[in-house]
Amino acid sequence: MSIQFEGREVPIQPGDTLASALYRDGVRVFSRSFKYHRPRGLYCLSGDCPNCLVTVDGEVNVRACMCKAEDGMEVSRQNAWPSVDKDALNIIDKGHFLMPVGFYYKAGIKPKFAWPMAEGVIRRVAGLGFSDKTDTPRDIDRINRHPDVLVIGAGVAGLSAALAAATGGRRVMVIDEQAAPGDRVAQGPTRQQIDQLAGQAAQNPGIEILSGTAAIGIYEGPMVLALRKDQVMHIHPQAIVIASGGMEIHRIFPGNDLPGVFMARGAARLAGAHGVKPGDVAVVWAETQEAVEHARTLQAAGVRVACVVTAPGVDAQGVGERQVEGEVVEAKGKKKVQGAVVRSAGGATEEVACDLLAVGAEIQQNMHLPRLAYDLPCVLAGDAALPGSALDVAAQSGTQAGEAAAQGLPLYVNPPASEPRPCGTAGYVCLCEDVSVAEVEQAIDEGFESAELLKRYTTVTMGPCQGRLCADQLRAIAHRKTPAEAARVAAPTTLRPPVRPIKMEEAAAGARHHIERHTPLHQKHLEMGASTLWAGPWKRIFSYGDMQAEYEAVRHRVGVIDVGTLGKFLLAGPDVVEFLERIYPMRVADLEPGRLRYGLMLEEGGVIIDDGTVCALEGGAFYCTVTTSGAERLESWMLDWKEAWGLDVFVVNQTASLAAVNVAGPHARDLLEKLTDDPIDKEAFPYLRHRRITVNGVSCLAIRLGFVGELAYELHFPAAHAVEMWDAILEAGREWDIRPFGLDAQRLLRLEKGHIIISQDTDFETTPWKVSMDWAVKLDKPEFVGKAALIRAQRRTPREMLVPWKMEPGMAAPPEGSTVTIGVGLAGRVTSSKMSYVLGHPVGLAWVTSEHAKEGGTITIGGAPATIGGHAFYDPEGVKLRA
Amino acid sequence: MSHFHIKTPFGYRPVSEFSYGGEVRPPLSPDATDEEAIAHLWLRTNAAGVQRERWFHSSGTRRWYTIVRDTRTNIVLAQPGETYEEGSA
Amino acid sequence: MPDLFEVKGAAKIRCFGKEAVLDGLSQPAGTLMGRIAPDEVIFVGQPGTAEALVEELQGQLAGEGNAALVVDHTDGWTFFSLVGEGVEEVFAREANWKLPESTGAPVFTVGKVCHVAGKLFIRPNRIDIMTGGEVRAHVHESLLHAGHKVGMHEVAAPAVDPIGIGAEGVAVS
Repeated sequence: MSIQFEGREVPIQPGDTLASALYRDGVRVFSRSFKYHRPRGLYCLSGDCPNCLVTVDGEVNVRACMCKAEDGMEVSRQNAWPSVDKDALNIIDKGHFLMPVGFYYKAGIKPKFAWPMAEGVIRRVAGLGFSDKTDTPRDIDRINRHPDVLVIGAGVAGLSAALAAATGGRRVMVIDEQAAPGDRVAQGPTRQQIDQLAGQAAQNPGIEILSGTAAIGIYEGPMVLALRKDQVMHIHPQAIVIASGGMEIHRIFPGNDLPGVFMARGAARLAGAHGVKPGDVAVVWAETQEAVEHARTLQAAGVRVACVVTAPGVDAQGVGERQVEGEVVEAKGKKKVQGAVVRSAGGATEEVACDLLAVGAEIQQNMHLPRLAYDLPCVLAGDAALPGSALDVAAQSGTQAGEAAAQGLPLYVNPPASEPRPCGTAGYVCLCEDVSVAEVEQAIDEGFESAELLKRYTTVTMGPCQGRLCADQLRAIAHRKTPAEAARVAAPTTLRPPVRPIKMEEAAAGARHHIERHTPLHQKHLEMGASTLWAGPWKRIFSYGDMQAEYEAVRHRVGVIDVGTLGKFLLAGPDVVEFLERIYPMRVADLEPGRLRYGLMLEEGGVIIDDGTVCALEGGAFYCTVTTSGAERLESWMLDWKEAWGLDVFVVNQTASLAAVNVAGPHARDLLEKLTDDPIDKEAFPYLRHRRITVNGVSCLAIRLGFVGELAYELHFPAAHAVEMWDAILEAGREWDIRPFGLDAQRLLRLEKGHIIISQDTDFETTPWKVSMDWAVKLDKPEFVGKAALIRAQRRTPREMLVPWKMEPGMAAPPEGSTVTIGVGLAGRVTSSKMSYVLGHPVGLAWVTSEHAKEGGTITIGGAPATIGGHAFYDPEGVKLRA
Repeated sequence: MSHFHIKTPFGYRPVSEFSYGGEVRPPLSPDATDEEAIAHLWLRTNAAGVQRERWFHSSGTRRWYTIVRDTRTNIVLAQPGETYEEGSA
Repeated sequence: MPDLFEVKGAAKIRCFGKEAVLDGLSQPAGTLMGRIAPDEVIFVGQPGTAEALVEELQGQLAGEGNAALVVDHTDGWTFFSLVGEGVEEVFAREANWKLPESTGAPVFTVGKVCHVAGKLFIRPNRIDIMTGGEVRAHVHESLLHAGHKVGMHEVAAPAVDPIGIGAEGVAVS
């Protein structure tokens, strides 16, 4: 078993990660730093630092320490030329003065042409791997889960919490980033306890352990976003236990980023879990008792521990060749660690030769997840609650957390931010973005005093580690430089998900397409070669290829349009008349069965929100249509008023249940007479009436309306019959060369009649008064929505009015949205504009200031003269639609 | 990502099933002054804190629900049918 | 592995009326019943039974005059069925809420599924999903996509008893 590493074969062993396999094979430099191309080696081995990002099988920025080594993987390092081992770009490290902190705000500003050139170079030498832009994103699975309790972290505390929560009969899910619980912990008391607890948990049917699953965000709900191999999981628990542990503080001192400097846990992982010696001669800096265990692990793996440097109170008796109470102040070496400078408690310094410096610093909690859990039912356990706690304390806190979670948790409140711990005065603060203490201090001198500003200016905390290593150090430096204002300058920076890097394809998991609403005839239209457009949430038909031919058919012969997208409501119940009287501004009570009326819908401010028709049915019910995008919105709107008024009425949305087509044109009646035996002549079925007739064997509600200005029958019938009805109409109309027509043709047909389209020609201030639709409002009714506002609006002259206009033959139709001018003054805007084929000149609608909005007046549209009309330009008396 | 649950006859449902209907406002009196009418139509409290508000269960029961919510935390202080007493949050 | 099929033409009849009146309705034989709200109930019957159901329910509600209403929504809503082991896995990919548990009798519920409004019947190893007919193509594609992850197959609806209720109508909790 082996992997391919930069052209050579590297053997792998069971349990290997890419990091352990490569390290065993002698690889020491894993990456070159972001800006200065300094060599970087393994450091944390817990997926927290940026040092081991490599490219695996073409996928960039994979953490080698977290990626299980698999036979045949192709692995290479990134961000170096010609190679990571001999990186010529390391020359940049000699010229820090050329790249001061914030240099991209300072450099390349003059001359202007320089920056784009510099940018290209910088882009190539800085940054991480190069992604393959030809790669198609994978379709990442997204799934929802609903455990009662979610435990994040399968360590001692997390497993204890799971066992405690599950005893209450609750269903518990445990997620953990590692391949298996305890997988990365060296043999010893901690590992033993994890193994034992994991064994118990595996036996418990109420516990599900998902390894290889990283929590990357906690959201309201609560909802935890978790990332697994090829899957994004949305977990919706009742309560969350965060047992995501802690990590050693990233200690800052000169040389702290040299290969060979490890976090002690990381070195112990390599030695204890993978059996790979991280070095031959070690200095271990033990600030905690735990770190002494790591020194033992190193010794057991055959590392010569030359010196254990202990903090006060840490007992390293018998571990290593000698013990010194004190601290490490510097790592010596050029391309790797060659020695550690130790300062003893007495103040004396000495250099101890070594090729491994294991820094076992104080444990800090991993604060990312807890800080996202604010105001959510969540509790912390183990190191996440009490960093550096002993095993029995961790287990106990886990048990308590689990019991509390099973019973329902109080909302988690972030503890007040602690004062940052002191940090070193030289060395690398931020390994991701390559920022040293000196650079942060320089930025403070430039005036960026607080951690939040420093973060943005220096980009510390903004790299792949997202501040895991450096956030507190940044606060500490700010605190040190401006001690008098610690509360302001050293406040913790805001944390946001994702707490682990996430790929775009993972972020997009589950998102696929816009939801299109289709009428039952949609497929039929597509088969006829129709083009579509969005109309609210619907995909409607724009044209079947020849808009003018479609238009001509309606004006001179016959055409048919699918109007199934209209909102269709059945309203019934004891109070239905009263309800409609209040919903509509026109009169409804006097509408006899068989009759219909055009109706506006207004909001409380008197502004038009929709329009349609109201048909009075036999038996006291009403059938109302609203515009294409209005059905959902108006249904909730009507139900809101129904509740407010306490009226007994049923509002039934039948939009999808019924298909609707409009057969329009001089031959519409001739056509339908071929398909029905019911009388549909002018006397039996006049304009503005509706009848139930049987067409092609299907019972339809037929409505005589005039939106397109011709004799027309709108047929509403059960959607299952849509296709056969459509085919029958086209077949019957063949003798008049019938055409199906789309929205493009319909828009011209209605415009020639001066009919408005709500929201195209109207806006959020449009009252009926402004569009000269006084006839559609009956102010003598006792009450309707918008009445009071309309009465108020009537007291003053509207600023502008919507008017129809026309231009002379031979002129081109101006674009919609064109400005209207009079003299040199701005006087309005065009809302609709089209060339009328039947009239031979452009027609349209426009808002024009009231004093100029007079029939016969002249306005200028885009420099060309236009005349304001009064009624419709086409068939102004409405003879044709009454035919 | 704003997320909370509203109680319906079919259990607690994610807010993503609802559409917002705004803060609950008293109806406008027929003999309101112009100022009152303008305030009613155009001015909202837009509370940063406790708010009584309406939600339409558009993806479910297609009914309106009234809840009390703290707009700063998205914690629902009173579900539909529950009473909320001032200051009990 | 679950199967997916669409029951075309399944009868879907909605009744509106006062709570007590709807409480008193007797469920027609061979139907699934879902109480959407105190004043609204839906009955789902086998394909081809819509007219008879409307007639029966109108008969039951005849005494209510215009205080009750029966509406046929057969053509307005789709009826997709997920049947077999693992149907919950398909559902979990298309809804962010917890499926109610059913011990046998169909449980009726409503909620967002495939990003649209749905009405559902839940039974052991069976989920029936009704959505608006205008989003049929979207729902179909979404269910296929989700089912693909768990090896679901699309099959023809059973010729006999496609809504899966046996000879008798089953009460719904």
